[in-house]
Amino acid sequence: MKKLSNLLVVMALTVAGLNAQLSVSTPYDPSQIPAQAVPCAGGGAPCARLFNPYDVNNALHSTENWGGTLVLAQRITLPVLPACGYRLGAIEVPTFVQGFTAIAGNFELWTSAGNVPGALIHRSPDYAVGFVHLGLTRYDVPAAVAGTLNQGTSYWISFYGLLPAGSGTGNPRVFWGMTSPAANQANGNVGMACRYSGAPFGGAACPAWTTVAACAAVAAFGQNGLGYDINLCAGAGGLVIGGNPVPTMTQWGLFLFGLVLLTLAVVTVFNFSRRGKIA
Amino acid sequence: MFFPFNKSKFEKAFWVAFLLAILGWVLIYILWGEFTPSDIIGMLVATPLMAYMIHVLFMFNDKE
Repeated sequence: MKKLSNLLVVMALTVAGLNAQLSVSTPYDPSQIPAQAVPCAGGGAPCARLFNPYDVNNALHSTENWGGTLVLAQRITLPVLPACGYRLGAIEVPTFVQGFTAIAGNFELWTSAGNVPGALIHRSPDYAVGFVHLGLTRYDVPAAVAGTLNQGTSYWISFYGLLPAGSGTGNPRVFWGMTSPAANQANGNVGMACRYSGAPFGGAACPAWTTVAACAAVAAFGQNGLGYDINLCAGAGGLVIGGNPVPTMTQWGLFLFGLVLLTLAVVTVFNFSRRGKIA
Repeated sequence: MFFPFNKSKFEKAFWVAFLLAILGWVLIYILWGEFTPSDIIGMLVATPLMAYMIHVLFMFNDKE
């Protein structure tokens, strides 16, 4: 029994030592954690950016965008971060300024089909008071939608307004104001995409998604080359499947190793106790 | 080395181990807020092992 208890003590010390060694060799690195969003519902400072894609090559200068008459879309690419498992919490477009009056609006999220949007993933409920809060346009992405999005994948986003009933010709509108300081991003980016019904600017309609450059009436607004400032905000909290592996396989392996040793120890003690009784 | 086994005791022990596994899942979620594939594989291996160990502990009370 004395030899057995010595053996068990040695095993326990070995397990503890391995655990300490593994803890030292895999230190926690806070720089691997992505920035978290600063709540800014109702206005305030812009959220902490995951990154700023400037994923445009051609863009429009102060173009009106209202109702379903003219809808613009811009491509974003979710960043691939070392600490995987973040959830897209919100999308902000600080340069998307409010026009004459607040309008109702929608946000759309599309898959990417190269230079244009592909399939619609999500359309927000109608926003009765619009997205604009103190000059900051922000859409909080629902968790169920964010959970379907993948890192390193491109999507298209669109903010647009709805015409309120009886608005007549004095349409409230939201401008894509070019206050962003973005410079030309000549790195192979695609331009903005648009759908245009043919009114009120005249010219040929572009009913299906097409690049702005290919839709003459919209491209006539000119001034290409500037990008829209877009913030992609990490969502806080929520269950993330397949995120940062904690506990790690190393920790689980150690736990199972300890459990096997403990089981062997219990079986050994059981066998010794039975032999003792028989004797 | 002799590995004892008693089927009826193992069945009881397995339910205890299952309950401990559920508590373990809850604890993992409270502490880390997420589940990973490693947790699933680890639990699948650990639960029967734990059940066997508990069943041996049950057998300590058996009279020969």
